[in-house]
Amino acid sequence: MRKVLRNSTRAALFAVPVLVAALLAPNDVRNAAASEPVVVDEFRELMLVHPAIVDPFLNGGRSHNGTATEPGGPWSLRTLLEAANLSQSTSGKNDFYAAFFEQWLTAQTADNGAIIAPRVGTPAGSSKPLVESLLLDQFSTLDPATNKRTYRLWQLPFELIAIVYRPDLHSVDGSDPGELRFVYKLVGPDGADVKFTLNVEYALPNVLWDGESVMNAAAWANNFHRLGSIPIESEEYLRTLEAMTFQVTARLYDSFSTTMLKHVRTNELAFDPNSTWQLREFVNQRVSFYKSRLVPSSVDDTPAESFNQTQLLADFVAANPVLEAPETAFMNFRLPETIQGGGSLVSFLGGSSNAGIRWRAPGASQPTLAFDNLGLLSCNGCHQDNKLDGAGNMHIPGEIEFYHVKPDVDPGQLGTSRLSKFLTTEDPDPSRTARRPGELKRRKAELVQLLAMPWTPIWLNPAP
Amino acid sequence: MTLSSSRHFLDLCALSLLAPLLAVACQSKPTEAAATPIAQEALTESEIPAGQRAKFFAPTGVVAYSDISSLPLERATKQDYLLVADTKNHAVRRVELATGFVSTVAGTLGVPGSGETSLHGPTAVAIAPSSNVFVADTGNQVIRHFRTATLGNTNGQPLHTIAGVPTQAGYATTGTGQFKDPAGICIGELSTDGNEVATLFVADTGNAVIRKLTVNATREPLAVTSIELVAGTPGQHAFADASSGSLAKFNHPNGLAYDRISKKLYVADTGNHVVRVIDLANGASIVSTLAGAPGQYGHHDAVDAHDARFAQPVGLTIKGPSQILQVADRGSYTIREIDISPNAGLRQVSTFAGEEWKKGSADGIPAAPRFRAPSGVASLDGVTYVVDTGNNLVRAIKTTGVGVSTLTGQRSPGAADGLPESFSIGNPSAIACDGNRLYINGNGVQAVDLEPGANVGHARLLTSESWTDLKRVGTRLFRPLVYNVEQLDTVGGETSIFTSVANVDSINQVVACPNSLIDFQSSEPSGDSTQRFPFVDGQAMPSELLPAYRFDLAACSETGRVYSCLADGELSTFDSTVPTPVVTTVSVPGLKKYEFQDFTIAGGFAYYTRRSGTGRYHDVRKIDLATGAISVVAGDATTPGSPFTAPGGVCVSGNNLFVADTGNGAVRRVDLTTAQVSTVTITRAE
Repeated sequence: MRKVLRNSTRAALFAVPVLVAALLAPNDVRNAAASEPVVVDEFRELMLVHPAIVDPFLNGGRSHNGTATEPGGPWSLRTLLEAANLSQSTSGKNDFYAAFFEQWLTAQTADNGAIIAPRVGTPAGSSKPLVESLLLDQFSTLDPATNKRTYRLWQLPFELIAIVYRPDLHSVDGSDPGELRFVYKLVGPDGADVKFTLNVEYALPNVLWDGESVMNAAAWANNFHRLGSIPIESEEYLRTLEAMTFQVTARLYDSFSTTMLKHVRTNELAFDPNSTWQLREFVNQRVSFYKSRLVPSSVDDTPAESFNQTQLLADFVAANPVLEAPETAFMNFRLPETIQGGGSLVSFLGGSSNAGIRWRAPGASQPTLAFDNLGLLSCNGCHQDNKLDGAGNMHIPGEIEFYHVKPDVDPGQLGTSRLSKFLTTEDPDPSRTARRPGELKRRKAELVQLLAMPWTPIWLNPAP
Repeated sequence: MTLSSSRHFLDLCALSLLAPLLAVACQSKPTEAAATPIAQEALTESEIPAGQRAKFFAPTGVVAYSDISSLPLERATKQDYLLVADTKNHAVRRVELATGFVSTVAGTLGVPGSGETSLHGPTAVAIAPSSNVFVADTGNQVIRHFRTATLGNTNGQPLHTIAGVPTQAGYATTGTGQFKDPAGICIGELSTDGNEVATLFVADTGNAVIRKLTVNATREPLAVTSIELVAGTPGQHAFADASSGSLAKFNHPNGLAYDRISKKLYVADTGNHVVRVIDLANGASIVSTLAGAPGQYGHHDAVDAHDARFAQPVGLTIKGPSQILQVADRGSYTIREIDISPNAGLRQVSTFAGEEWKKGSADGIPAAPRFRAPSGVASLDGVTYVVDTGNNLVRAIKTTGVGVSTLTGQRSPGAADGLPESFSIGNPSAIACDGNRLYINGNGVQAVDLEPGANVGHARLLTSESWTDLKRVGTRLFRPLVYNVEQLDTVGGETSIFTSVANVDSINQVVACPNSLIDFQSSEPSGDSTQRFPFVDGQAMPSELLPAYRFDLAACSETGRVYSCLADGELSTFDSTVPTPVVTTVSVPGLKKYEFQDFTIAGGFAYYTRRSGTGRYHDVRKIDLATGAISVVAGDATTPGSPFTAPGGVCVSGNNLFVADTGNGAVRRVDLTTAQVSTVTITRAE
């Protein structure tokens, strides 16, 4: 079962008219198809990396994990995880965090049956896995008698580095408005940045908390586009953005509601430095009314590694000519969870995505354009392996390694120094067969398209 | 023990930081000042669990002050402190600058509340010369007051609310008034005697205004008699300069600094990314922009302050009298300076410390110092102190740009009093030997136990008091002895004491001999004499040894013979063990009167360090007491770092001469047989 929560259930279950009413301004009908050219500021509307937005000490504590006695800010990882945790009891809540954060210590089985090996690299001279020293020990205490950890989320060693609006992931009819993602970096016990990022990814709801107000893709697009007119370093910007994210991340009335959480994804080379980069994906699986677990999921759009250089994969690519489309048309293509193999349906996707797999046809030393595009849809290909051209060079000169939002660099004044060239830069060589047009440029174009769609204006305004 | 105290008021203003975060449930009991038990008793060093190191949690506001107290028994001291608004620990912490020792003086560490022992997210603090402390208790929406400890008395007094309605944000001008997220505070005018607060300025951040509180400090409890709007338009976060304060607009104003000389109130207009100034001279309230451009977030230094750019300026302090305004520029991770000297033309803006847009916690030399969202800044005796909010540290900046060090705190947040994580003996100025133990006067007085046969010692803090301040009136450390004379202050407990007798009005000189303490009194109103205090418990009565005798720095030999240099080319000496000693002289060609920085007698030699009218020499010398010949033991007189740099105290233990190498922040050991110099590695004893 895939992980997208159904927005319709949200509307049916939860009605919070008073709260939502406070957030909504009177509908001022707007002609979305205005003739003036639309100017999108990608760093105010799409890829929010400015320190004034993400840094907990500059954004009024909105991404701060709080204290032992006070809650975290609305954009803190603590708050997002607490909202995902349906358990009511202290021990039940703790079990939720243990089940998630301790997954690297043991082999895991993804929801499609794929086995994910443990990642328990240890530094020289130590018997303690890095996942413990770099992550677990920073915010939990191990009871040797029970071998159980007690977690303190206010000490979560994660810092927000980006909030990402993905209008490009909307459905064709606009009823699925796309995604909102929060990207965190892990900070080690010595204060150094660790090669580990964690994304908390939400489906944008198509119905607000009042259970009535419909927010299609165009409505969300217009609300995010409005951020482009507000000074990015202002309290007004922060409050407006917070009013919007509240509709996505909050969970009201404890276990009766769920957030729009779609995935949690991790991206690390920290726990096993002698291996390769590994990307994992998790979904919040409800196992009872008062209990859920962030369980390993197959990784979206990434075939199992065993399919690489197989005829089955070559047939799949051949059957989907969109993968050979020029420029970026292929980017909206989604890989299925299963494919026909040997006369029956088999799981197509991997349990994790590991760097070092360059997707290509059987016997081919280099990927064709279609395979390269397939690779760009995959986790490892997009982050590393299909950034390379046939000569093994980065498609875009100066491309930083692996990350798209790099955790271990100074963010700079605007935060944009964290971003990969894949996102920000157009491939300067138009002769390449797999030319990279600059991913943010593509998303901007998608946003502009949405802004041209008709919509019923609903503005998510901060409370007075 | 009675204590007379006067607070040397050096730096009045403070600042603050974050807009308050999510509201949480909290106690709602209003506080009233009353004769109630002590609100917060600061722990002393001995009460801190062994090994506990100080921690902060997102500290924001800071103020620096000196506490000059004179004990009736003639021991003058000066203690320098910071008061830190430790926001997420809901407390006001006190940092002793000599040692970095941190104690909690208001609030309950780690626990928010609104009662008389509690604070909720305090973000700014200010202190008056009279020890009255004022806190912007942001989370409680009020201004709190307490009287801080005076020297030797770490007990605080109950917090009480002097303005605002606890836990209720709003805007009201009558009664106690109402505030919304007040996040900046500083002392305004003082009483006519200059010792007591008359007005306070408050940055009422959430209401976008600056307010003035008139204080009646003569009544008990201290009370606010009126609350006035100084500048800003309530509820309108915007930008507007104006010739009348009520027409001006601010955007989340934060830190404040008031220059009583020019009657100018400086405002960190955080939301507008500028520094504003309100000219209050002659009853006016003229608001203008001192530096930066409204709404222009950035980091740019400029000759003309209006061309400069800031990124969320938060903390302010005035360094020196009306000369430099220092700014904690939180968003750019730097400390900035603005020339506010009366004759400045364009008012240059420069970066004092940190590197723009590069966060980190690295200290100064050789790496570029880094900060993470510095929010508070204070200045004292030429040193700038920074509350490095994102790193949970208190930093010190001693020289422009590169001299950043960590005073206390740890990068990971927490709630703990105690000594700093890092250990330093400071710059030792005095040293005493007692077998395998050294006593060092540097960062407080440390007892250092030496490992036999190794140049390694383990230090234990005996007192955090800054004895270095006594040096200018002749303080020295003496060999620890069991002594029970009440008139002499005892410090350190156990069976060891240090003696230190000094008087800013007269010049006393004390020297410890094997069996007695010799006190040279020379200008007391009556009874001047040189007295001997026998080192026998229960025999406190001194005996007169000599008439008043104006000895310079003196030292005593193992046999009880006292030496001092009273004239060029000679040492004066007498035998302290006889009832009526006779002063004689030893010829020492080349010896200069007053050149001893310190000296000690051992094995027939006087070992000494030297000073001149312009500074210190960098060698250690000795005098053969039998022949009067002078020779160099180690070092080069005019070459710093050879290996000594401005050495201070010296003492001898066995065949080793120990030198307090003041300028190098080290203790050196000189093997008197080989003249080889080595460094004693000193770690903290756990």
